[in-house]
Amino acid sequence: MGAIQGDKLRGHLEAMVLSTLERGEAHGLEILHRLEEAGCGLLRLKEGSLYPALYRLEAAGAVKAVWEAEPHGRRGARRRIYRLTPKGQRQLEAGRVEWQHFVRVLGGILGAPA
Amino acid sequence: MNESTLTQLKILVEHAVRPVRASMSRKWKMREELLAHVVGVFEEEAAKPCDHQAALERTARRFGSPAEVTGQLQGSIPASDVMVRFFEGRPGEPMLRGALRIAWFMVAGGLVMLATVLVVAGWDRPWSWEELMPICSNLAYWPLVFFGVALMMWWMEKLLRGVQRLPASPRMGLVKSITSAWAVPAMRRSMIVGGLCQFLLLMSIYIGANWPTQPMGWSHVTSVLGTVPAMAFKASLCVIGGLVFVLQNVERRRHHEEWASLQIDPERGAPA
Repeated sequence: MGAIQGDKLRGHLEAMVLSTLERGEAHGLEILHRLEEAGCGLLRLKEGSLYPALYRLEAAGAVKAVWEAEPHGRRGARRRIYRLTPKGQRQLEAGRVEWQHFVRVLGGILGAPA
Repeated sequence: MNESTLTQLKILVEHAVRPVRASMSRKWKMREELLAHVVGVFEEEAAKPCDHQAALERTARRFGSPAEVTGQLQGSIPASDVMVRFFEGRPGEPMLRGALRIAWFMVAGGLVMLATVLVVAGWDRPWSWEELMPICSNLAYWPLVFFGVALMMWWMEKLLRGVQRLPASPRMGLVKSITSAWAVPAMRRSMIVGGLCQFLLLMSIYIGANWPTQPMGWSHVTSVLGTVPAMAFKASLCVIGGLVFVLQNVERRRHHEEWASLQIDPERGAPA
């Protein structure tokens, strides 16, 4: 089975990000590592796309972000640490229900029920 | 990581962020966070057995097309950012013009609020001329006060432009920002002189406004002296508020100028 590229992830990225944050707070790169780990290395995401999704989630109140205190040896820039909010948790649960519905409907059409 | 590599990574980020139409503070956040990300990615790639240039290329590939990222970043800007952009002004805007723009906005906003209050409060019983006159005469002083504050902020910002390194950043607490700002001589001078000018302006307005109603005499002098603590408090509030705004503005402009000085080739996209 080939890698899953960015285009196929459109519309699901935000729910996927929320699900990684369910495991605890994380910065952007850590979120990507969690996504790759959960996708068994088959997920190929353009990494720059993660941050707009995080900003949208932050604007919607689904995640909260704080700047890390120190750059930890990295030069010139600090990371932001994201955590899931109660609203984000509800959004994630709604996303899971929506996904199950989507898979059920498409599975029926494709003749490959989940 | 050497300086040249860091610059290459900054250029990669700047390709994506520079075309975004957003406030300076939002772009600052984007730049810093994306730079931290690509630095982390580069460190991962550089740890693999490959040369330095290959690590840079793989970092750029993992980041994705800057043009696509630009479009996605643009889509993540909330509508409220327009207001932030208004208050921040354009990057190359003269400081005095920016100060005047904010002063006019505050006066216009104040007038709208006052008009609303007057209409709501006078709904049941119309205002008499005797009631309206003192309110309207006080309104005449608003532009003067706001212009005074704006002028003080402009002057503070001009002084701070010469300071090489500011002790405060937008993420510091208010008290820490002010105490560390006080340690810099140019800032201390601007706070003292700005505060004194503001105090004198407020006192002049008070004396001027009460001149026709207060006959010259001991009672008038005691009334003027009695208002000194309140005016000093107001002046210090103006200084602190202005300083917080100016500090952030100076830091934002410096950050913007630093990134704007990076040479990027829009035709070429991300650096190879």
